[in-house]
Parts: sequence; C-alpha cells; structure tokens
Amino acid sequence: MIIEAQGLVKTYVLGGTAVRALDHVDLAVPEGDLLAVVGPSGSGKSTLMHIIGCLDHPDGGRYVLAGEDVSQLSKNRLAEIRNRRIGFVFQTFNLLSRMSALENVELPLLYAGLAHAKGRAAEALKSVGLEDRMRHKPNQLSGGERQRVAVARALITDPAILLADEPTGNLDSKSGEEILALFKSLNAAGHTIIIVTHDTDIAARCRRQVHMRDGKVVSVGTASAPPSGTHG
Amino acid sequence: MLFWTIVKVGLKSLVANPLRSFLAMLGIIIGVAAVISMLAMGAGARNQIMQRLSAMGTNLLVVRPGQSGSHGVVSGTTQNLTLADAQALVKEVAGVRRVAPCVGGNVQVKYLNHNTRVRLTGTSPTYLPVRDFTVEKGRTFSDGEVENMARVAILGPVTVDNLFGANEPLGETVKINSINFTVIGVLKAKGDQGWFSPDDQVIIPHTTAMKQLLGLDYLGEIDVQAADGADVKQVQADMTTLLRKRHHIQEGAADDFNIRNQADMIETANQFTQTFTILLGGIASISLLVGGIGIMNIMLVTVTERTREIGIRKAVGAKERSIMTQFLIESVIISGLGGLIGVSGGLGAAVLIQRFTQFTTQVELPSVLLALSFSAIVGIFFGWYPALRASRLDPVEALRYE
Repeated sequence: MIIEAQGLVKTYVLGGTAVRALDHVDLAVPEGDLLAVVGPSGSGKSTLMHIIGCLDHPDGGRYVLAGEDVSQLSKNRLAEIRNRRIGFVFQTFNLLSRMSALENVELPLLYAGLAHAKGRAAEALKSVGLEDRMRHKPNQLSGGERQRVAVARALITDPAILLADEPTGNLDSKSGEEILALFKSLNAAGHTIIIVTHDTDIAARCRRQVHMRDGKVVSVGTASAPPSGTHG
Repeated sequence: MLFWTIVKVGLKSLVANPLRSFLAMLGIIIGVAAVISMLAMGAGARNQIMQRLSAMGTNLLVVRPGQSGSHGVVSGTTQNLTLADAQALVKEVAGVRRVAPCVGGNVQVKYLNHNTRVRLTGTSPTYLPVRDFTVEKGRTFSDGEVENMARVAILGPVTVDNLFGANEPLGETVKINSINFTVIGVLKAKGDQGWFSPDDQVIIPHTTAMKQLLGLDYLGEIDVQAADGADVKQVQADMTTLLRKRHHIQEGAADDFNIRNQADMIETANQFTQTFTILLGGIASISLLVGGIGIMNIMLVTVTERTREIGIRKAVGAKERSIMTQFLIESVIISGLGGLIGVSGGLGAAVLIQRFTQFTTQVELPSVLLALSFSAIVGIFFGWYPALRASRLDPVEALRYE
C-alpha cells in the first residue's frame, strides 16, 4: 500500500460552530492505482486531499505514506515530503505567472536543492508534448497546455503519488479529454494517481472510486473494466 | 534553493513592478544621500577649521585673564594682565620667542563717506609674526611709534576693499571712532576663519588703542610664540609659574588667568565639529529609518499580493526558511539598490553643496560604507516581519487565496 490512512479526523471552526470535515475516514491506496475521490462540495474530499497531500495535519488518526507515518511530522519535514513524494495538479493550474513553463517545472527541483535542473525540466515538458512551448509564460499558453505544464511539474521529482484536484474543471471538454488520457497513460506507466472530482463521468473512468458525504466515506466502488481484485 | 536563484527571483519581482519598487527605494535613496552629504559637510567643516587653525600661527600660546572653569573658559571677568606681565614673559621664561600684548574692541572706521564696523587690535609689531600675518603693501609700525602713541593703522584687505574700493589706501587718513589715523600698511589675505575674518580688521599700536581709543588699563590677551623646537607644555608650565608669582596667587588657589595652546584649540574645534557631524548625521539617519518603514509597508503589501504564489511554492516543497530567505533578499535588494543609488545621490549633493553654498564638503570612504551597510541593515530589519509573515502562511489557506 502506498497510502494507508485510518480514522482520519479533521475539524474546522467556522463562525463559532465546529464543522467536522473528516469524520473517521479510512483509506487504502495500492501502488499503481487510479483512484477517484467523488462527492458534492462540502463532503470533505478537499480536506482529505490536503491531508493526503501533506499540506495539512489531521486532528486525529494515522496516515502512512509510502511506509512513513506522516501524521505528526513537523512543517519542515512535511515540506520535504511534499517536495519528494507528492505531485499536485490543481483545478486552477497554479503556475507562477512571471516564470516560463520551463522555470515552473524546474521549481520543485530547486527546492530539492538541485542546481542545474533545466535539463530534467525540459525532458519532463517533452514527455507531456510541450517541447516547443518551454519558453512561454503561462498566459501565453492555452488551458490544456497550462495543465500539462502543471502535470510535468508534478512529475518532475518522480513522486510516489500524483494528486489531482478537479484537473479538468477549468478546461473545455477536448482539453479535459487530453488531460484525462495523459493521466491514463501515466497510470499505465506505473504512476499512482488520485483524482478528486465531483464529476461522476470522470470518476467512472478511473479504476476505483471512493464516494464521500458529510466527511465520511460512504462507498468504495470499482469500475467495470479492470477487475477490482488485481490491486489490493 | 540556491542563493543566486533566489536573488534572480527577487530581481524579477522587482522589475515586474518598477514604479512600486522605485517608490519603496526612494526613502532609502533619500536617507543614504542625506547621511552621506551631511557627514561630508561635517568632515568639510572639520578640515576647514583645522586648516585655519594651523594658519593662525604655530607654537602659539594665548594668555587671557579669568579662570578656566569646568565648562570651558570664563574670560573677560577679571582685569589683571599688564604690559609688565607681557615683558616679563619674554624676558624670564625660557623658550618664549616673542610676545604680543593685545587689546581689542569693535570700532567704526570711516574714509570719506565709506563706513565700516571692524575688529580692532591694539598690539605691538611682534603681533604680525606671532599670528603669522604678513604685510603685503606698505609697512608695519615700529617700537618707536608704539612708544609715541602714533596714530598709524594696518588694515586687513577686506577692510581696505570696503573703505577704499580700487583707490590707493597707503598714506590716506581714516577716522577710527572719530580719531584720525594714517594707513601705513595692508595685510596679506588669509581667508575666512568662520567666526572671525582676519582679513577684516584694523591693527594699531597698543598704546594708542589703550589710552586714546578704548580707554583700557589692562590687556585683553597676551599672545606668546614659543621658540622653534621648544617644549610647548614646558613653556606653558613656566609661564603659569611666573604669572602666578607676579599675581601673588597663594598656593592652592586657582589661577586668575588661563593659557591655551593650539592643541587645546584644535581639541575644542574637534569637539565642536564632532557634535555638528553627529547632529547632522542623526537627523539624516531618521530619514533612513523612515525609508525602512516604507520598505516594510511595500513588503507587507507584496506578501499579501503574492499569498497564492507562496502557497504554490509551499505545495511544491518550499520550506519556511526558503520563503523567509526569498522575501528577506527581496527587501535587502530594495534597500541595497536604494543605498547604491543614494550613494551617488549623496556624492552629487556634496558637490552641489560645495558649489552653491558657503559650506565645504568632503566625502569620506567610511561614511559611504557606513551609509551602505546601514541601508542593508534597514532592509533586513524592516523586511524581517513581512518575510516572517510570508513564511508562516498556511499552505492550504494560501492556495485558496484569490
């Protein structure tokens, strides 16, 4: 298992009332999985993604990522984990607007302490089909291209998991299809991918689905095509 | 993350907002320029005073009546210096080369319809070598003329200009406080000394001054020139012993006169210019401080504006320290660059001050280095809090920030 989480609890205080965003959530993700976390807004799927992505601590429960218990690590260690083990793809791309595609992709390597990372960044951009767009700034790229830059950035440190939060939410359907196809091929190449979405169509095309409601996991389903028994 | 990469990122974000970056720098630019030009004025004043002090004559000791108290010199309160004292000093103290008994006062000098108010010194012919004056035109008065209370006057070049313009002064008669004097000599120009111009004065025999003009019985000061190679401290001690004896001062009682040598005067002048420099520099440093507050303000705005960027950087693995360093370096770039521009501004201001005002300026390397390092420190100090705020941002919140 690349991800093993048991009894995750997260509570927010909003306007004086405590809201339980995660209420004892268990999650196990095997290596090479393509998992969709589905649920309406407010179901806790974003909170779950933040905790899985080590952007946030759970208030309770245990989270083991690639064999390491990360539920109580310091902020500094969490930053290192995010840098090496997790690749993020966001709905709004979250690229740095003043930097070229190449510099955006290079960024995680710089924080990992590598001096000359341009070559690896260029390779990563090539692998998502953007070799002739490397010097462009994000505002000179189309939505689909931006998301592919984001995917290249997420993959650059060869992370254990790829976390995508509504990756097609800001894209037209054609670009969305391309990104989804990219995820499929990455998964086929062995990457573990978790897609958080409210779009059931997209969820249906993933190998497994976790449905959430009111901070709880209500059901774990499997797409018909790949048999569920093969992975975990 | 590597240092130069961070510097590059910092420069990029400054270039992205050129007007704002310039405005943030402006306070530091003005502050550094002010510090440098003010310190240059202080140094200029000090050098000028030193130069003038050495122009006053070497080996000079000045005896004045009155006690030298803890708050400096209290003079003019007692009248006890006599011509006999002056003569005794030159006769009995070894190492005294010349003495010049002096009385002084401000007088009205008139030539035809020209009128001027100047400093008058009544003295002996030795005054000129003691005070390092030379007569450029005409002659000095003789001991005989002193004896006879001759009504002869030597004028400073500025006084001559004021009274005679382009006319020939030698042999002309001027009225000093309504008494006729013949002009027998003109001094060579020495240059302004700040509080007193040696080029605008009248020198006459002390006998004439005391009996006919000012009505004084005692001397205002005795100027003493020590012999070349004499130990000035020893001469000063011997003079003190002699004068105490002549004035019948009891053992243990305070002197009723004071003797100052040139080292004392240089010391006093040094203290004065130092105070002046500290004052000017202090005022200028306040503008540096204000500049620092400007930087802090801009950095806080920048951090808020770039909350999302900070969130992204944290999501891809930036540690708190990396974020902190990035914003600190940005503020140090602002203040350091402002400091560099300020240095050139300060150099320019020093040149302009020298050119268009009566002050002389001298830019010294230590004051440039001081201002530069101060500006870098201002950048670190005032960039600290904004950088800390940036580094502490919660990544989840920061990524959500619109």
